[in-house]
Amino acid sequence: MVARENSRRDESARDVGVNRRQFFKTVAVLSGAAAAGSLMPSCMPGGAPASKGPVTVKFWKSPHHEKEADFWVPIIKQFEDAHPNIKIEFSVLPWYEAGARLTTAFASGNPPDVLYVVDAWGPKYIESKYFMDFDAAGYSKEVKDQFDAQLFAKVPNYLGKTYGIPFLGVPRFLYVNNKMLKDAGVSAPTTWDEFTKVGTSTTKGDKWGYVVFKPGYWQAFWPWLWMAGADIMNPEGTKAAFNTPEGVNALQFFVDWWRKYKMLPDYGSYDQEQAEDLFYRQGVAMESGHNIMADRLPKEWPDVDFDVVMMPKGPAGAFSFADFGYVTISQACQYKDEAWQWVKFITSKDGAGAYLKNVGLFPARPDISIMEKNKAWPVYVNNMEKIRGAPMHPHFEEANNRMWAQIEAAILGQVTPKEAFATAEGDFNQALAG
Amino acid sequence: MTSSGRVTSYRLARVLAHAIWIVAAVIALFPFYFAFSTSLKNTHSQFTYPPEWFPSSPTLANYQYVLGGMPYLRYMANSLVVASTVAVLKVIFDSMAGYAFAKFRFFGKKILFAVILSTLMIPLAVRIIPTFLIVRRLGIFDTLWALILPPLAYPMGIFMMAQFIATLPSELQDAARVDGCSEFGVFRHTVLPLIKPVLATLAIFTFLWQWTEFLLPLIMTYSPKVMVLTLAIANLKGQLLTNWGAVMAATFLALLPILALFVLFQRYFIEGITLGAIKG
Amino acid sequence: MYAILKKMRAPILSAFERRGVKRSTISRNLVAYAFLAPSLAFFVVFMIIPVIWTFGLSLQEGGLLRATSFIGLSNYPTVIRDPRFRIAMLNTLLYAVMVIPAVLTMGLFLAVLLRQVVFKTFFKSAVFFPHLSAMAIAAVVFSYMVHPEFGPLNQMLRLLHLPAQNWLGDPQLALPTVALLEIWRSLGFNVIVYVAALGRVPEEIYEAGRLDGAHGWSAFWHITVPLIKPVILFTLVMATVWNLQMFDSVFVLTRGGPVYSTATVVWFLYDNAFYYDKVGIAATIAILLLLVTLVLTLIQVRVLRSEVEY
Repeated sequence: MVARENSRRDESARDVGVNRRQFFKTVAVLSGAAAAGSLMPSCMPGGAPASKGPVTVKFWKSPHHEKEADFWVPIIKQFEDAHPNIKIEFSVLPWYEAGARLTTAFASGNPPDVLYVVDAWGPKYIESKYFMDFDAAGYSKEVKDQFDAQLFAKVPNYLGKTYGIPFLGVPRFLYVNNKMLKDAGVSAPTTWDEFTKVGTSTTKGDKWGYVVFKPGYWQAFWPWLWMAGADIMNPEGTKAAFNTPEGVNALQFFVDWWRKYKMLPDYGSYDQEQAEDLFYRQGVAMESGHNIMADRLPKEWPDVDFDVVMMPKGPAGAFSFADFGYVTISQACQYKDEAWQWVKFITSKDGAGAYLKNVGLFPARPDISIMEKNKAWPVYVNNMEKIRGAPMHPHFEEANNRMWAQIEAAILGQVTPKEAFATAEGDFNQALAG
Repeated sequence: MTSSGRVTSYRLARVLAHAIWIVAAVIALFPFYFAFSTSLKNTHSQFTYPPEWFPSSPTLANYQYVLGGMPYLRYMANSLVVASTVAVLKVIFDSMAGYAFAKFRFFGKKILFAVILSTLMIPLAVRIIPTFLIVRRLGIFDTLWALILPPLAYPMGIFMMAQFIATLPSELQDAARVDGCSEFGVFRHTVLPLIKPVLATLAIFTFLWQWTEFLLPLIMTYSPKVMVLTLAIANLKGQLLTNWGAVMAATFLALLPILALFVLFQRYFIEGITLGAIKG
Repeated sequence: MYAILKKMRAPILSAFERRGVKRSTISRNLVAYAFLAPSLAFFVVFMIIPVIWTFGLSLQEGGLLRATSFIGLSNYPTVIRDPRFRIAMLNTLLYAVMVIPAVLTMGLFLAVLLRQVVFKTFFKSAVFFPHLSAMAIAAVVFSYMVHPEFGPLNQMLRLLHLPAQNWLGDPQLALPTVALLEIWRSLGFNVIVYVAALGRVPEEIYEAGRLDGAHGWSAFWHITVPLIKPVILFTLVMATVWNLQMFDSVFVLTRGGPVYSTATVVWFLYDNAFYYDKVGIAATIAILLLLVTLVLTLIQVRVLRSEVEY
């Protein structure tokens, strides 16, 4: 704790820099004792700048837990003890507007050295050469063998080059409330027909059969698109591929949950956290949830009798969606080799294991077995090849937002699914073109 | 109309006026009550139906959570530093500029004043991208300076000060010059003491507007150590947190400093707006 | 700063004196500009330059993360033809139309009624209270209040046996709901402005009016309104500038949805600049917003000013 306080003090001292002492003095007087009390200790310039001492590596990660920063303290300490010439400066990058913040951080010329990246974020920055090429630096071949070959070739990869090391995975499966299903006399669905049957028979009073949250909603739709036999983009990643009869079928099915089966709460009423909370409070019978739920449920909501199952099979089989996160080094980093030591450490069996067991997320490497008790783990292991990720394209975000606006219009009954996809295809392709 | 009829209708009007004002006040204050009462509930009673209008077993746990679980005081200090520094700098600079406009004839005065006046209609959103680029070039991106310096450009204060100082008699300044005061001395001794209420008003409103600013910190900062309250609380909604009570406790705490200011300087809050509005 | 000015004084003085300008005039100019200097410096750096730079950027293609290149005015037709921009502009104007007349008339109405009310300070403070909380923070509270299932607003409707509404999820309702929040937050500000303005109308004018038969409504319409017209103009212009750049509440509450029903111009600008990395498009949107704001406020000033001067 003391060490952490000190390091925090140094860090802010460096940031506030020269000549600002006066400023803070003035301000402390102006803003009264309350502000002064909390400002002075952290903002007084500390020791001399490190001219020869250890190299500082700035590491940013978005939080997967409320105590994110605390979890990193022992991991950083272990690393710094082993590498006395490297100092890690950790910052939590809030999820809130993480994309916009990364844009301004990279555009400001003062980005982090090491960054945790959600796979879909990558292309925009890679395209402008902000991430380091791990193949050219020879980093990827050092550790490649420790990972599942298919996963390694896909997650940190863009147009055939590797830009980081896989760190964690967040697969989404179907969470079912056993008690609610039993009360309705049904069991966990294995097909689309069964899914709507379970959904409608568990919807009564203030209980719902299923819930789709927003934003982040597309994750709730993509698997159904895949299961219908369609895809978001063509295999080359250049054009929309969803506007096919199969794609329209998927959307029709999706829209029917609200309009025909009425098994969901009003569109847009739940954000992700509220939707999860609804499952914890047994207000919804089924939900497409990520593995943190399977970690939290037995610990915090032991009364909830739940199971995790694979998505119900559609015309083209069962598929599910997962985000994967990797760790990259920014091109602007001055101490790439030191940064690489850190990346190698946190993606190693020990480093990743130490962090992931705290947050209940799945490792991106097969040799960490900390999750056996997590009910989503066997589903994950048994369905590896049926898990798909987000498409990789620098303009995907805009294209996806445009596509979703049309899907929303269909959910709300403003247009038919066919019309929605016809419009969405044009909008989507136009956005991809930039 | 008979006089007794007029008295009755006057009474009726008064009753109606009170009724309308009571409704308005209740609507204005209800969200604060809602936030406060929710902040006193524990996690499990936030979702009860029918609603619980008074928390049955009030708890301070949410406040403990907010103050202990995140650097809340840091965010609050950041907000205070930004808002008060902008307020102080603005009061100094704008009163000087207002004095120049009110009491001097100088080259380009009319054009300059017209330009300044017309920029009142230019919203921050229009300038936000170049402001980011300038902040980046000045090397103050992601520091509190990036939140302090850009607002100093908004010329409302100059305008306010010029109008008010123009109403002061010029003889005082002439007399001070005869007494051998330096130009700054003239300003300090014959102008500043007379415009104290306007200065207070400008300071308070500048403080309020900076305290509630959102777009600027959203673009100009990303580090938790320079995060301000507006951002931190909007951020709470996007965190791994469905604890309404904690969110409400955080919003309620964010209100306290400005509330204290309001209670202390209520007079200036209310006068202030009119001064800005004198001439339109 | 002061030292530099002092050093510069002599050469500037002599340069102007050679051209036959009076010494006292020069020195008065120097003093005036010395007083203006700090404000002017910030004004130029963070107001004038950004506006010009925004225009410059609107002629470019590229992004904050990418290189930019000059493409002339071709961003303008692209943006104007984009249906999403048109919807955003329409939403922004609609929002302004929902908010501004409501706060101005209700504000004036409440201010007039205040004369009849006891505990004036308490009531005034109460309605001003919402203005103290930041829009972003108020929006967070509001998002819970209008929650379709647990929010007190729908719970109240259910108690009254009225149908509950999906306030922010229904495209017809979303924009009015967001407007409601702004009305709640800015009404008190207007009330206070009008109360002060009304307080400055001398009582004798009303007495004189009464002799001419002006009571109640007609006194209000023929005496009060013309006298406080400059204040109305001021609040109208400020509300227009403020509401056309509406962003914080949609950012927290709806993110432009559902189906673009709350997408506003600044929201669209923000997405383009900081998510889609299209800085030229974003700057073009900014310039178009500026033009609309200027045109609208100039019309307001023209119309109300000309009537004032009789």
